Amino acid sequence: MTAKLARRTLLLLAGLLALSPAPAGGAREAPRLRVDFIDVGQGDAALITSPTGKTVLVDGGPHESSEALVSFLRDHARGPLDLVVLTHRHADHFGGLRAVIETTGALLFMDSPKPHPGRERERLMQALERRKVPVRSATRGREIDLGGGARLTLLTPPEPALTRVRDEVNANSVVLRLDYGRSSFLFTGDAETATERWLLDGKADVHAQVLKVAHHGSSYSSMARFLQAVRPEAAVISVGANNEYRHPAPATLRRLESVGARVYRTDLDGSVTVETDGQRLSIRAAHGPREAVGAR
Amino acid sequence: MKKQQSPPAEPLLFVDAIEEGRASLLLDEDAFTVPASLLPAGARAGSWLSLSLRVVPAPPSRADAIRKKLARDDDGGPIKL
Repeated sequence: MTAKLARRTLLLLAGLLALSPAPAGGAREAPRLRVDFIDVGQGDAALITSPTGKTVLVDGGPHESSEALVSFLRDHARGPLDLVVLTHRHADHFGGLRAVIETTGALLFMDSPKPHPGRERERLMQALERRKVPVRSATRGREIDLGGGARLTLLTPPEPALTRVRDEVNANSVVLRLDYGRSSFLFTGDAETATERWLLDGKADVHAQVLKVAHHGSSYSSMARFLQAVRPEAAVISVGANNEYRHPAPATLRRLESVGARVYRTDLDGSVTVETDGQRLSIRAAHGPREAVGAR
Repeated sequence: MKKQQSPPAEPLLFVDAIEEGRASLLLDEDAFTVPASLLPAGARAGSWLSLSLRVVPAPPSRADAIRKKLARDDDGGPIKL
């Protein structure tokens, strides 16, 4: 670029900046973090978009929702995802991931290193291999800097792994804590009461404004003591309409109500979007109105 | 004398419908679909099938080997996106 052209470009940029409208009241709006709990039917998928635009997909829903998931990501995420995290290897959490890896793309993939003999997992690994996506192990205490002050912390998988429990795969789910300013989220995968006890016994910081309710609101999770420790202002249940497991369990809904959580359900509300500037949350559901939840 | 117990009967499935390559099967009130190609020869809508399942060794899988290769440079430390 010649010096003359460079000067003209600078002048043009300066002119454009001068014409830009100032934020209302002269205050600069704080960068926002956004979490979309995506309606994938009976399964889980959540997209985190950090204040700097980094994207993390937590779980990929069931195979039958692949198209809907990829379509959502096309509308809400630019280019390849920065990270995909798989909380555990059940089909309703990873069935859509192969399509995501092959269409949306990902720069990094994280899961538990525990072996698993499923066929679909082999196909997922083959897709990661074809796309040359590096894999990282989900281990307790690992931190992920999302930029702009947002941070993910892995609270589980439990070490050593929980055994002799109702469902070992669920009980060893990756539980993630997301912090941004005073806002906090807890992603629980399909954690079971054994996982919740392990977290409480280990004095993990589980208090969060927004709780992704474990295991689609089943009766095997969300025990009262755990919910009292989380004290969520909003709770999101990712669940399919008329599912054969009859999730969410009425007892779980009552326990969530008793701790004062506003409950959102993807079967009734559609995808649920939470935005925060690090102080206050704004929640809107695809099938409902926007609501504000104040920071405590 | 102890009465001899008969082995449990194999569950029976009713072929409710076959459509678009999928067979809709009923196990009492539980409905589920399977690829129609899995049905035995001669089965059609309205047929009854017996169901017999057994545990077999896991088929060979490359998943863990691929994962190990893709994670070879993972130092286990904090990640910055």
